[in-house]
Amino acid sequence: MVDAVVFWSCTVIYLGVTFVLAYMGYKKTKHGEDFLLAGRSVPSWIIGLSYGSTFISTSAIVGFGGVAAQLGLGIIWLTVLCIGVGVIIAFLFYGRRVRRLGQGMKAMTFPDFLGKRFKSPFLQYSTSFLILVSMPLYSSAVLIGGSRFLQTTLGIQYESALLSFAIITAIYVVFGGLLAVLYTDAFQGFVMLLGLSAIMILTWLLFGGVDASNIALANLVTDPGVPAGLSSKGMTGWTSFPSFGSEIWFTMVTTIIMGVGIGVLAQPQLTVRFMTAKSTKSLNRAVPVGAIFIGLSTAVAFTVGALSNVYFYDNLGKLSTQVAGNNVDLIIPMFINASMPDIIVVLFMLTLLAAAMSTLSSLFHTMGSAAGHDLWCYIGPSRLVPEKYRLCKEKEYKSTLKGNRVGTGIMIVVSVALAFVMPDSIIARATAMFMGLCAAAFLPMFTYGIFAKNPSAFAAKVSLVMGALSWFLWTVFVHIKESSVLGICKFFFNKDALLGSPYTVIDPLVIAMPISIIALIVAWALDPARKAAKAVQETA
Amino acid sequence: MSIFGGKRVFGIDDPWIIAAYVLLFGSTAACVIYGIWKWNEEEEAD
Repeated sequence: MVDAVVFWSCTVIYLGVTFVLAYMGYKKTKHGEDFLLAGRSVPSWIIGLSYGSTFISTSAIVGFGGVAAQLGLGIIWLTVLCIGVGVIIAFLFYGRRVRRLGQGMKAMTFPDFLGKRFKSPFLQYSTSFLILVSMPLYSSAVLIGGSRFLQTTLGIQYESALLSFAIITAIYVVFGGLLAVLYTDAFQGFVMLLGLSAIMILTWLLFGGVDASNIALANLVTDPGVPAGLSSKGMTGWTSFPSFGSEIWFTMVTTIIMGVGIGVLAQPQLTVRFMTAKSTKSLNRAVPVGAIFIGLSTAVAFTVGALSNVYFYDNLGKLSTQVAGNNVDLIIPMFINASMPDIIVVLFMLTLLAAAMSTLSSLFHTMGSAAGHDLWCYIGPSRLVPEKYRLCKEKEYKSTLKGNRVGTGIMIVVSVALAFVMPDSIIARATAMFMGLCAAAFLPMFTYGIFAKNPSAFAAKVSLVMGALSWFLWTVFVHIKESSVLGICKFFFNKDALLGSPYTVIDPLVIAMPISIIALIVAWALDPARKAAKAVQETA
Repeated sequence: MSIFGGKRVFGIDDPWIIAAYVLLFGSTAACVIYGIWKWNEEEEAD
């Protein structure tokens, strides 16, 4: 157990700094637009750190670190994709166009951007709806990840840990808006960099250096050997990639690496970061900060996760998954608690707190803006709502502080409730599901929208609907990891999945995204409005 | 298959894992160089 004085001193300092920064954000938040976009003049280093710390959550550290302990270092490819796609393509190709278009259209949220770009209220509402339905899954996974570590480290009740997390984060998001989120994200990013760097160095020292660590990890293949349940599914060792085409290969490549690595491009909470930049110069300057942060944090989590096997096997004669009772989410916390000095355990706890809070605050803010700006601010003034309950005046489509704060508060409650009922070992899966849905439903039409000169709203609508629908059907009726838990397939067809192997382990993203792209192309070709415009042009 | 002559790099001998680490360091370095190179560049017209 960690020394109470050390723990509380560090925690009070951490929370004190967080609340001071949040207060600074609160003081500068005067209008709905401040709440949503932080005045569109955020410094580059804050954008980079905030983008990174929002992207890297407890799910990435605890959940995927645990997956690395179970399946080995092949997951490092996810880090490569996070930098290649999540930073290079995201900032250099998507970011600068999103910033310029968003500023030109005065768009304030991701759904608002799509609605204005395609001149389609349907796209704004449906995107908001998808965010409100799917994002609580991710935010709950983040909450669970952080709470599990507090439970293990402090020996407190899981429920108390979860509620404390949610309430502290809720206070500064609801009152401080995006400025509070960005300021605290940047500070939390620093804490994460410090904590993870220390853990990586100490882990290598524990095993006698980089080479010795990896050789010891590689040697686990012969003694004790890969567990029979994993080797029969394609696992070849902890320092080698799974057998091509095997069940674990499909899970590793399609769900973990592609699902998360590609899904990052169309995540609403990250896209908004581009719209807060004052200029393209700010985005360029944010690139190195984001890359260093994302590369370091994920690589450390995955490498340390895999190496935890060496520690547990040397000391307890068991592999990490066996020590954690097959709950991969517990592996990283248990390794840190067992192997590191007290001060590092505290630093790691703050790192996880920081990771959870930075991601959570952004998710809360994005869900709140989808509810308070994109849905309420447009539906609220309509006749659907009794006059005395209307937050905005008729036809006054301005975002109100009150509307956004109420929306954020409601979505926080939903996330916390969901966290209480979600099953164990869900962290990495829920994260991959959310990112997979983002990629399937949003990415094709979002990409089309920012790169096409006169994008077709019809094509975007068809792509969104087909992407979301095919992702949902594959998740519910074919992808066994989800379909067996959801039980809908079982209810209708008396079996867990409608198709057999290997389809049951192919991620919904791999099926749904191509369908979404094909739907976009076909709908674009058939779009009556586009054809009519072309005919008019040719006549003229 | 051995893209590194069958030798261990930092104790790892699977080329897929070695390649992932090489790409990780390479892409991070490229981002840092890009940021420095474009540090003062103003808005570009597309």
